[in-house]
Amino acid sequence: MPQYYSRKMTNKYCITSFSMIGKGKVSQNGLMKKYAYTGDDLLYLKSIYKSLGINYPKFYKMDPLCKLAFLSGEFLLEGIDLKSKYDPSQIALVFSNSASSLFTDINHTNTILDPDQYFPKPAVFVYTLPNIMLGELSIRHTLKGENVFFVSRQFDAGFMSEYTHDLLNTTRLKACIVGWVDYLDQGFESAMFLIENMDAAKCGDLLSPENLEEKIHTFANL
Amino acid sequence: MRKTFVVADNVISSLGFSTAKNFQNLICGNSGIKIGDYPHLYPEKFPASLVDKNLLNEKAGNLHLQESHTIFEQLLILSISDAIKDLSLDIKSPDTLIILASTKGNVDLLKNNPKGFKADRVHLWRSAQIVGDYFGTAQTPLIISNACISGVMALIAAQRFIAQGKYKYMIVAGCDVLSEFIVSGFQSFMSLSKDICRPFDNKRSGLSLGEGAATIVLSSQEELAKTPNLQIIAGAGSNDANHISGPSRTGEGLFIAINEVLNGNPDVDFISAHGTATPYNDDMESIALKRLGLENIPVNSFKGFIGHTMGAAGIIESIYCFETMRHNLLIKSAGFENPGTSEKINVVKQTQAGNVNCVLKTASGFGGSNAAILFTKNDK
Repeated sequence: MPQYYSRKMTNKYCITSFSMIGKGKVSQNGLMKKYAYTGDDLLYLKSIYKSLGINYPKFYKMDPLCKLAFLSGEFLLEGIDLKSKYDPSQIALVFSNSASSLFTDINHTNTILDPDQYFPKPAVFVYTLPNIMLGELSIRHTLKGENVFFVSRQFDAGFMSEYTHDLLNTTRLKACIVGWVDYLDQGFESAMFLIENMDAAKCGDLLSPENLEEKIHTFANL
Repeated sequence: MRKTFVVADNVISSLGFSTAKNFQNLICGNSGIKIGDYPHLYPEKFPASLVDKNLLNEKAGNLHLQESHTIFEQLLILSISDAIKDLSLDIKSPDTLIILASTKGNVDLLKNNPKGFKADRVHLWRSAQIVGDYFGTAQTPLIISNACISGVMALIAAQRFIAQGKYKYMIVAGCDVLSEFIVSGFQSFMSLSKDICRPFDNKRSGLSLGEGAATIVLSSQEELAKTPNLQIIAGAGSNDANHISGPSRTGEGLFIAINEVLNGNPDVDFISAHGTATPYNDDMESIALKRLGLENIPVNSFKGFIGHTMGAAGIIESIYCFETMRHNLLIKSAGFENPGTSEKINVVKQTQAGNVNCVLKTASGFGGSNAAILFTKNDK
């Protein structure tokens, strides 16, 4: 990603909630939860879903990338009543990942590889866009603000932090979920941060590249 | 806040390899969508809007790109090269940033890779590196992949970067190439029309797919803007929060996005709608426009000319809007004959002269995404 100008940020925005999902572990605002991981990523995501005790049948239709985003959203927003604070159109989503929707792209390609078994499926094809996860999260949590999806080789805390800061600072958007959700055969990563104005929130850490990175590194090293 | 001026642009589509050539075809009413046999895309005949591959090969050859770069990369590089060719801007400078918009990039490599490109070439971040390396940019290009609003979102981000003084020049380029991947997917969705698409018409029965690339160069430097002086005023996005593959019945997200962008300013002369020609999309747009009191403003869809060019659509169609402003011409909505949306809107039936000083461009896409952006003209 480009080197974004490092103007001094006004620092009136805070990380008021965050969640991360890794193999065998989930972090909800730094509080660790252990989940049994047996080597099968999809089964693992399903087991987390079951542990939440929610009834959301659409979960089973989602591709793995959206399942991962959905679960991260559940941990991120558990117990948080965004509706009481904001109009749905004031909550933005600023997301990125590395592999776009490649896992499902490969699945879709497999349905058209052999002319004799040419059978593309709409239920697969619809997930061949990375921003579908933003649609799933918006539906689940009634979020109607601006959505943007960037693709970068690695999570770029500097860019994501400053982009979000400027979005909240220069538009009528009031809160933002910043996300990195990546899923491939070789593994997955998910981190989400809820960013709000200090005045509206019991303040957590300030929105800054260092704070985003520090939370991700702390989780990775556990 | 700095103003954002349009400095240069280029469109590569079935209608030609330059903005001028494209617009000439629009004025003449020539559609680039042709029903044909495209066995590399789909086993049966279907309508598609394709870039002339012989001409592409020749032009890519002039830049020595045929063997080293995919068609997707060639189109992006050619489009950017053409857009900046008469400008004095230093593309290598740290105050210049390229934003790329694409839905699927090099996805075709998953199935067709006769030249043996490395596996990482399928990644959009790799495409950004390739384009950045070609031009020797100081900044790695930024990639936005936001379904069919990718192009408009890239322009919105670029306008903000200029307004905030982060960059002096923004080069916004979009591209998607038609592939078996994309065609098979839309066919499985049953959303493709058997005939050339007819946005907003009562006989519309689905979209036509297209491919292309386009580039818009933006700058805060007013002296670089040509006459007439075109500006991007603002943009906004919104999610329907309703369905991942169908538009909201009430046009909720589009309503929010347009409302935000117009900000009480009703003086829009022309609307370039998304207008895919699927029954639901066009209906949704008519409902959103009616809710906003914009039902009498002349509106068209450019997709009857070049099909749905996906990640490039927002950029190609925005450049067509710039041309309507430069020439004071309202371009007809190709394929439209009889109203066919649940709310009556003022679809442009014949290409005609008219003062076009303020244009609203909209886009909607899978994932419930919607975006709107506003352009104005000032004669110097």
